[in-house]
Amino acid sequence: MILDELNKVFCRVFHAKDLVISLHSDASSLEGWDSLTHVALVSETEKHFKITFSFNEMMQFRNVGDLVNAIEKHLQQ
Amino acid sequence: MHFLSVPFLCFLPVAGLLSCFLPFKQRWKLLLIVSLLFIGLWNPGAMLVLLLSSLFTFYTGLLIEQNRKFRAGVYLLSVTIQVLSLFLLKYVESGSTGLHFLFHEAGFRLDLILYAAGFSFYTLQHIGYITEIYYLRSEPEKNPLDFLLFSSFFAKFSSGPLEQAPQLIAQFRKPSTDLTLIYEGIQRVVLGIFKKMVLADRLSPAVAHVFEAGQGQGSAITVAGACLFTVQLYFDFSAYSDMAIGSAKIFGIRLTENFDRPFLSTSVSEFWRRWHISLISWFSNYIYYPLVFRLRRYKGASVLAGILVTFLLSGLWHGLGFTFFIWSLLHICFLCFESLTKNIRLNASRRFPTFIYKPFSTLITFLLICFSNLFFRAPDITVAKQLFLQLQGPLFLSKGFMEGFLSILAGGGYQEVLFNFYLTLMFTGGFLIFEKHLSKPLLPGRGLFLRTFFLVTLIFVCGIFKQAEYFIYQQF
Amino acid sequence: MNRRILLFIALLLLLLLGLEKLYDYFLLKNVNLKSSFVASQPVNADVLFLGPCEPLWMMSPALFQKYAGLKGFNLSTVHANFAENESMLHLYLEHNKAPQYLFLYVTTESVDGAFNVFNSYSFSQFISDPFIKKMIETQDPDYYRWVYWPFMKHAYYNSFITFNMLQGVKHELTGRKIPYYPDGYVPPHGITWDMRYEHFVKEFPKGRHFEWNLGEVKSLQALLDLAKAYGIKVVLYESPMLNEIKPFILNRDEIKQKIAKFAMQNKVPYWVFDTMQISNTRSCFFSVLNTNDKGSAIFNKTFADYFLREERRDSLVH
Repeated sequence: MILDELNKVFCRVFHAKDLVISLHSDASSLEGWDSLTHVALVSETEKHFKITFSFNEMMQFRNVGDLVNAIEKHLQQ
Repeated sequence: MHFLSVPFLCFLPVAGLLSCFLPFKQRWKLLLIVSLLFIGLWNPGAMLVLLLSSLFTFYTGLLIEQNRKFRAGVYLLSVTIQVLSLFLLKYVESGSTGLHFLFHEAGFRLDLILYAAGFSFYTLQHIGYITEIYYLRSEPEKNPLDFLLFSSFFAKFSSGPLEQAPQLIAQFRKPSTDLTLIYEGIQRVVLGIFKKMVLADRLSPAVAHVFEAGQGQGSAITVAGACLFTVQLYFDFSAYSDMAIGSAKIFGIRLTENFDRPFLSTSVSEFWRRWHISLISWFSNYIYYPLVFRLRRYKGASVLAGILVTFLLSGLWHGLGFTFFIWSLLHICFLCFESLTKNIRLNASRRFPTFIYKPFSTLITFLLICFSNLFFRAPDITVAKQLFLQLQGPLFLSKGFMEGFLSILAGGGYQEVLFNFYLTLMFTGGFLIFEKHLSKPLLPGRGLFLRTFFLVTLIFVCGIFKQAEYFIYQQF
Repeated sequence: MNRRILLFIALLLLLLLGLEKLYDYFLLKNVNLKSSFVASQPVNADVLFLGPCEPLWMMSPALFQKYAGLKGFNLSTVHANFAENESMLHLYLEHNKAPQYLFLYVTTESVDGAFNVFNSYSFSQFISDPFIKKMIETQDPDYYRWVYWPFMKHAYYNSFITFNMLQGVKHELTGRKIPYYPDGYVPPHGITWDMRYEHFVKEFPKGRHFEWNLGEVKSLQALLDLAKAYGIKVVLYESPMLNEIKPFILNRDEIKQKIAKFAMQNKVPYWVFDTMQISNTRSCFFSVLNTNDKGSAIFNKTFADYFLREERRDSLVH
């Protein structure tokens, strides 16, 4: 499942082994999600799923759900 | 026309009334006429520049969409022209006599053209507009009048907030029919007038004393001056934003909020999410994030590079003076430090109780901002250096210190000046404490009536009328 | 909605009109406000001292009475130009017996136009007086535009006027009838060197040419005419100034001559005290034109003695 895999990425980036994310998780619900974390998330997600996001896509990520949808779209291509 | 002038304060209700008689879908025509009149009566040269700039940007947008082959070239050329003209404006403002002479010989009144009011604000919006089209995030407007209204909309013309064309134009075509917006708009305009006349302008003499009085002041005065200026700047600029947002609401248009109680920030990065929000969003969307994204493989270094470039450009946008450069360098240092120590600070916030950590962080953040504003406000580098050296003096608390301290800030110690200073401090402190309640929009009723009555009475009894002091951000 | 807004505006207008009356009343009760004091309390002095800060902080009517035997009042006000001096004199004469003498301070700065102003806020409670209204119309047209709007005559300069009004409330409640400085003289106690010399020299390192401003001269003429209409003997004078500043007043002699000529045309004496010993030392001054307690004590004696000498001479001649 994409969300489970993405959870591993989040745990790595946030340095929190027990972190559990949902599709609605965003910057306001996850402490420490700022621009530095966002860049690291995008970069680690791309590495983990072996995809490359466009700038426009990155700008549209508002929550984990958006990220999951974008990953799905790339994996289907 | 300035917001705080009799013509504008008469013009606004008359235009608002006229708009009530028009069908909602026709109101944009009135808004366009009213906006062009607002600018034209203020500065005909500014209107000419605005028309040219708007037409240029409008047709560039169409060209970028229609011409796939050369779209990058058109986009880059358009951005270059806009950025160069911004740079020229700042260069001319900084007093370059050489440039004046060159244009004067060619028969050009450079100052009339480039001192065009609102130029730096709407130019940024134009750059944002064509960038959105280039990145295929939005489509160009097809109606030049719609775009002209977006550029010239009187409420946001001279000092923002910076808006996105599609969202605003959609509102022009279909303004809100919610009548409570009119009440909200009026409340907001009154609040803006109060903040400007009763708070910002009353702080101005004390700030001027510190920054213009010359040598021989102690560190306490300098610190107080920096704090008072920071608060004055906030009241001045947020007052303008209140009047802009309030004026727009009267016509059923919602503009972006520009401030979110910035003095509650617990970090400098949080401060920049609460201060001049629309400008920082612009820099984030078009400078910071594109740069950070492209350098993302360098992880933390990409963020530091993003901060460096964004704030250097922000400093340049504010002015070409060395003081603005130091101001932006300071913020770069603060933000880089925060970025590098993020985890340490996060751990500290978890270790210490909130009632200790949060006020401490808020105080430190406020002092850092005040320190940077010493350079923002100083008229030149000599004064900035002198103020910086004064900070290093002893924070003397000798006998008579308070009288000496206050009398300098109050302008020499005359009784009425001291009285005014204490009153100003009381208003300032009171407002900052109750800001959330005073800014909350109220529905028509006794509460709204009493609050508005109270604010208007204070404006007449304590507001500064004599100073023809323009809003500080209009100089940018 | 329109009814609510109209009700709000009506109530606001009522409040502003009420506040205007309140301010008018209490400003007149403020005895520390010189304009209100001379218009409401009998002073009836034999001599008046008039001018801006220099005579305000220098000329002691108590000392003048001690040496010359005439009761005086210092009608000077801070930073006042001749138009304000004339307005103060008008208010005084409307409510008091005309004095025998008027000592009016005139120096290079007085006729320049760039140094002293008409402080309209001192007269907001007298707008209904046609003389004051006319004066405000010519001296402060920006302010004059507002005076007919409810409360605006006080609101415009409220940073001065609100304080004065509140002080008037205090005086009314406490029944105070005597000002803090009963004879109008404000002694310069505790004022140390004010750095005005240093600021002036920094701004004009090569000195400054002072202007013979025709507007100020016209106001001076009007002031003399008013005094003469009441049979007051006017004396123009210049108190001692610090010799250090004189080289920076580039056309001092020229202006002095013009003032002297003006005085002659108006048949009034012009006394210039520029050779006194005290002018050589800062120890008698706190500013380039202002003597401290020590310097003022010396000058008041010199001035009174000079007056007595001149008066004796005149009475012998006549």
